[in-house]
Parts: sequence; structure tokens; C-alpha cells
Amino acid sequence: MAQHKQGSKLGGDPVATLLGPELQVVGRIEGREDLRVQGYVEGSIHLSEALILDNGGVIVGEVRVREAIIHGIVVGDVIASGRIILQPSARVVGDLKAPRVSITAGAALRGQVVMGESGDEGQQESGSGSGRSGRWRGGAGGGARGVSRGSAAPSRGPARVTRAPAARAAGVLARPSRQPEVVEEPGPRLPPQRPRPIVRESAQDRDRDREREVVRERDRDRDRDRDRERELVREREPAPPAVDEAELEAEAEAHGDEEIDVEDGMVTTSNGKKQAARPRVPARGKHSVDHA
Amino acid sequence: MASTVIGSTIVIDGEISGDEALVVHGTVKGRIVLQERVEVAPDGVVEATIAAPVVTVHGTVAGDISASERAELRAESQVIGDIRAPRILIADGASFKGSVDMGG
Amino acid sequence: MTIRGALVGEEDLVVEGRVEGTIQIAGHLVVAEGGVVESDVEVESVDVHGQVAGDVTASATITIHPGAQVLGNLRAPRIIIDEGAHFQGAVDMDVELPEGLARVRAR
Repeated sequence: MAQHKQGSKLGGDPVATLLGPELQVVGRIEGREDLRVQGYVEGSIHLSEALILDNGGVIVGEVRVREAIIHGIVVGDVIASGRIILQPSARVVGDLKAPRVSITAGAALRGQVVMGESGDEGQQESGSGSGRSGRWRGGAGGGARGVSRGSAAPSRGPARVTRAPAARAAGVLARPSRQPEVVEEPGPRLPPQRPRPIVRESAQDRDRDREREVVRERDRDRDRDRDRERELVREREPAPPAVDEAELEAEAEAHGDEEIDVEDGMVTTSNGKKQAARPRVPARGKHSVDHA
Repeated sequence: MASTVIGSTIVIDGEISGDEALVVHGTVKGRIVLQERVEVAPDGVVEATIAAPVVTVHGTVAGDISASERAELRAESQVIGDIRAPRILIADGASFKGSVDMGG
Repeated sequence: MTIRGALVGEEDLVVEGRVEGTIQIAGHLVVAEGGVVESDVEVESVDVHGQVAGDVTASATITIHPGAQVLGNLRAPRIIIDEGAHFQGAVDMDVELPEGLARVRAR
């Protein structure tokens, strides 16, 4: 898509773009700076920076950003190259795709979660045939439709995911089908822009305070959410968490002989009582019940 | 009242409406219909029709402006389009091409 | 140590080994760090620190902690996925949308 404008203020831009609570936007939003939405947006949002959707804010449409911090409502997919955080007041109907996704207590989601480092993103995009482009970030606006909905088969592990509750949600999901009304004025030549940084610190501080307040109210017992968010807004390139499968496997092996005590088919539960472990007829595999 | 700010790298292509003051540093294409004042900052570019009580332009507008109270084309502003407002200010240094209708 | 077979009960359960059979308990399940569950899980609530490959249904809460790996679908009124957890699958919670959005969605 055409770059309408190259921002000269990548990174710490002091102009906080804010779509206020009484504002409605129907159309496409693009940008290279953080965007805070308190109002209503129907259409796609593509940003190279972070989206903060405040409580009370609503987005109906696809979101592609670096980071998404969601306190409000999203009906549509959220795709982030960094991370997605659903805060306690978040309500999302749609898929979440990001290397890191966290859902805090109280947040509600109906949809697929696709997490992974950039290397296996392509594989995780299942179910859309032609959608196997290998990178979901590069797609055009509607590229993510149909991805991973019907056949939710994760790329790793046994193909256990047979139910696809998200499919139902997808059925009622309304994408903004209507194209934004573009008034193409014929003729006029616009002069080149004069990018000029505008300092608007007070507004930003106020917003940040308000955000903290919201988080504190809703999540008093989880202060770290707030810290996480502040940290996220501030630091631009957090290191991805390493999920080392080999290590997990190794740990699994190491712990494998402990704690669960099976004698005569009984399993010791956490409160010391025993429960029957009714062995199924082993359909596969070498180990049924291996006594330690 | 939090007013809406559209930063300089933001491009909105569509319709903006509501009861909210708006400052545009970035680009808006389409339509702006607001019940509060609209300001196009010096670095702002609006390729859209604007309807609002007060419209103040420091930057660039290509599109018709309809202000129920006042339209102000400030110095350095560049406006191509028709303006309809009971009071219109065109500052020295502003460039404007279009018709003016003051409803008289 | 590996358990193959269904675990059914009303007690709380901590899995630190490997379970390859459905777990159905009316209590709280903890899949401890290093624990592996390869089956569907139906519980009242569950805390996952280890690995789960299977669908997880809880009548109350599912919590996936940092370092945990979960592959499957989650269904519960309350689902928490901590940062640092790895999860792949669908999430089905009750999402109450305001009335206005129902109209939008119907359009």
C-alpha cells in the first residue's frame, strides 16, 4: 500500500495521536507512531508502532501493529509483530497473532491465539490454502480473513485441535465490508509537507495517568500489569522470551519419576488421597504405566 | 475534554465524525464532520470536505469547508476548495483558491 | 513415570509427571513445571506451569503461567495467559459486547 507520508519521527514522537471518546472513524488508519483510541473505529488500523485501545474504545476491523494493548473492545483480528496484551476490561472477538500474547484475568476473548517467533509464523497460518505465504505481516488488508479458522490444526504436536469454537465467532464477525468513502478531489497539487514536531506533553501525561488509574481500579491485585504496560510503552524493543522446548523436555524427563505415585492403579492427589487411575486400553506406544 | 489529535505520520482514509475537537497534524482523506472545532495544523494535510462549527487552517486543505460559525485561513495555509461560513478570515500570507459563500 | 488412562475424581490433582489420558476432576488441577499432560482436560480450575497438549475445559478458571506450553483449545469463563506462556489454539470465553456492536456485526 502506498506510503502517503514518511514520518520523520519514528520512535519517541511527542505528539500523542489520540482518537477521543466522542469520535467515530469509518475508514482506514495507517501510521508510524503510537495511536490511542478511546472512541469508535470501524475499519483497519495499520501501525508500525503501538496501539492502545482504552476502556470504552471500540475497534471493528483488523488491527496490524507492533504492539497492541487492549482495554476496550475489538471485533476483528489483532496481529502484532511484538506483543498483544489483553487487559482486564478487554473484550475481543477475533484472532490474536503475535510472538507474545498475554491475557490478564478478567479479559474475555473468543478466537484463535497464534503465538510464535517469526520463524514459524508461516507454518502456523493454517486453513487458508493460498494464505500460506510464509509471513502474515506482509499481507494486504484483508489477507488474514479465513486464516486458521475452520481447521485449527496447530503446526506442532498431535492434531488434537478438532473443535473450532472460533469458527462460530467468525460467522457473526462483521468485517467492515463497506469501503471508506474517499473523496478524490481532482487536480489540486498539494505542496510538500513540512514535518514539524509538536510537543504536547501535558496531554500525554494526562492520558498515561488515566490509563494507570484504569488499570489500578480494575486490577488492584495485579500491579505488574501496570508495570508491564508502562514498560511496554516506554521500551521499544523488548527481548522476546525464549521458550526452549528442549529445555522443557529435559525438565519433563527430570521430573518424570517424581510425585505422582502409582501403585495398583491409584494416583496420589495433592491432598494425599488416592484416586483410581483407570488405564485405557493402550492404543499406541510403549509405555502404559511404568512403575518408577 | 480530551480533544482528538491526529499525529503527523497518521493517515486516515475515510470519514471522521463525532462530538469532539480535532487537531490534524497528519493526513485525512475523505470527510470530516464534527460538532466541535477543527484545526488543521501547519503540518496537517486534509484532502476532505470539512463540516464543523469552527474550522481553522494553518496547513493544507483540498476540499470544501463548511463552518457554521467561522472559517479561518491562517497565514501559511493553503486551501483549494469552496468555503461556506457566516464569518471568514483569510490572513495575509494564506493562499486560497475557490469560492466563498458567506450566506449573505 | 507415565500414566496412561483416564483420571476421574473430585479431588485436586497435581501432575508433575506425564499423563496420557483424559483428566476429569471436579477440583483444581495443577500441571507443575515439568509436568506433561497429553489429553483433554476437564476440571473446575487449572494452573498450567508445564505442558498440555489437548483441549482444556474449566468451569471456573484456566491459568497458563510463564514458561508453560499449551497446545489445544481453551474454554472457561475466565482464562489467563501470562506473558511468557506459550499457547496455540482457540479461546472460547463469554464475550459480552454492547448492544450497539450487535448491530454493527449484523450489518
